[in-house]
Amino acid sequence: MNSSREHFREHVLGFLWRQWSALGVAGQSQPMDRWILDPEALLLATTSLGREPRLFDEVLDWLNTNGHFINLQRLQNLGQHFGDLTVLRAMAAHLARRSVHAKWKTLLREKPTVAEAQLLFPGVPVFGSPDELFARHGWQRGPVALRQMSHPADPHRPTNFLIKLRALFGMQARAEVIAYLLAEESGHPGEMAVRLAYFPRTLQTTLNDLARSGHLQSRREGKEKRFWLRRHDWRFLLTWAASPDESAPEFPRWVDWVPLFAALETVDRFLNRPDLERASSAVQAIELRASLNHLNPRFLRERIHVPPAATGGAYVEAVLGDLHRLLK
Amino acid sequence: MSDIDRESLDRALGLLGELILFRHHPPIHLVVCGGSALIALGLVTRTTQDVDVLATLENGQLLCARPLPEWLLAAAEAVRSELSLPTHWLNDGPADENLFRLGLPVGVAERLVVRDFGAALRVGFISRYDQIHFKLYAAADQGGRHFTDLRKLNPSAVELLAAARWTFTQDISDSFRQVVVEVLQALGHGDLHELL
Repeated sequence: MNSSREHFREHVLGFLWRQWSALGVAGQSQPMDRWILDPEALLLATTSLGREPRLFDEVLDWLNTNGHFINLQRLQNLGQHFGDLTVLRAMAAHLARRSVHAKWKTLLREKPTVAEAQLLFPGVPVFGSPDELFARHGWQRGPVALRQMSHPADPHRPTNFLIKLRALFGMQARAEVIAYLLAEESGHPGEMAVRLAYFPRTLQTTLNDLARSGHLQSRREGKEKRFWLRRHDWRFLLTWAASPDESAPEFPRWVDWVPLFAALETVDRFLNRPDLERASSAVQAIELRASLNHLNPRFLRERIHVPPAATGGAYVEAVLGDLHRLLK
Repeated sequence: MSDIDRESLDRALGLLGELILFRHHPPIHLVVCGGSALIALGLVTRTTQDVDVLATLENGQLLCARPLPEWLLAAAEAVRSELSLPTHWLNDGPADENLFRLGLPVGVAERLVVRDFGAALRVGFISRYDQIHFKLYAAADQGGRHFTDLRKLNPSAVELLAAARWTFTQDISDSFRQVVVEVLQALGHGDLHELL
């Protein structure tokens, strides 16, 4: 378990660094992924999986510069599924100190209930005076010192397609709708509401409004009304180079980050359970299986392909292997 | 999914015991009959589909196992997934309340062959003597594999006589009595009917 835990943590932190770097967090230059990043999902994942001092503070730094590109309503919708809302609120409390980020106060409506403060960064003791805002939300950490090295998200990277569309269309569902329809070719309101984490009525209204522009098409398929965009009309948005296996740049892939991050969180919790340290590999596999049963069945069916005969340690390794693969 | 042999029975009950302990469930003493008890005691060499729980033993008293606790069924299901066991491999199939109302063979609890699977799971396998009782009843009621098992137990005349007398406490009909006699005849002990 120890080596699996360290290996997993390294993979997840590496992945988070890569995604945040693509969004403009100061760090090493990263290869250009061809998927669409979801800033809200990434931020929530960071509240639980990214609690490593350097990454965490660079993310806070990025929010300080780019926080207005975070959709707080959507953040709260997604926060019902994963992430640590107490950490998020502590981050919001920091941001809200600046008037430009006053909207983050909406996350601070609930009074924090703190029983006993825990270390924000596991295994990292607090040096200097603990940060008061984090302490108020139950988290012990040293003083926050932002380096102010973050950049705005580069609009010419496929990963930042959503941010680019938000810059064009505003912080409304239409940015996600357009990104989704260009990536997936078509969609119907029910499916999109779930995958984009908006209320169905919001999605329906947005789609109807966009349809009035004459640029959004629709057709009936049985009881469903499917919407689509003519990709060719939107190619002006493709402002990056083609990948080596493309003759011309393509729209980036849509990834359902929520079930993936929820799975990573679940496995992270599993790997950090002290009671499993001395359990047999069969009991470990059973407990992991039980944890995964709470996840999105479609995600499990489509993304986790554990051989049916895998049991015990082989089962745990197979699940971890699949998750590592998904982060590449 | 594979049938249960002696080795997989040990593994399944061992893992179940480990899981009960791990999940902090209360200790439980299951009384098991049927094919799995025969296999566990080495009385037959065959496989089975399930572990038939007849009763639980609490403070020296046999209690009808039906219904098995939800937490036990959940743990058994987890073990099933891990070891690819048949569905409902641990069940309370034979735990018929009538059996308890009409009476189990006298002294059955004292004759149990007890094995511990960790600190939280104790299994009392029905002894060969009591298996003969249950198998004679089942053979007369359902025939087939129960008769085969009964024959493999190679019961003596004394054992069959006691078993037959017990089966009549469970079913007093003449037709049942007649079938029991036929079973005894098939086992080469037809002469016992005069003693019944």
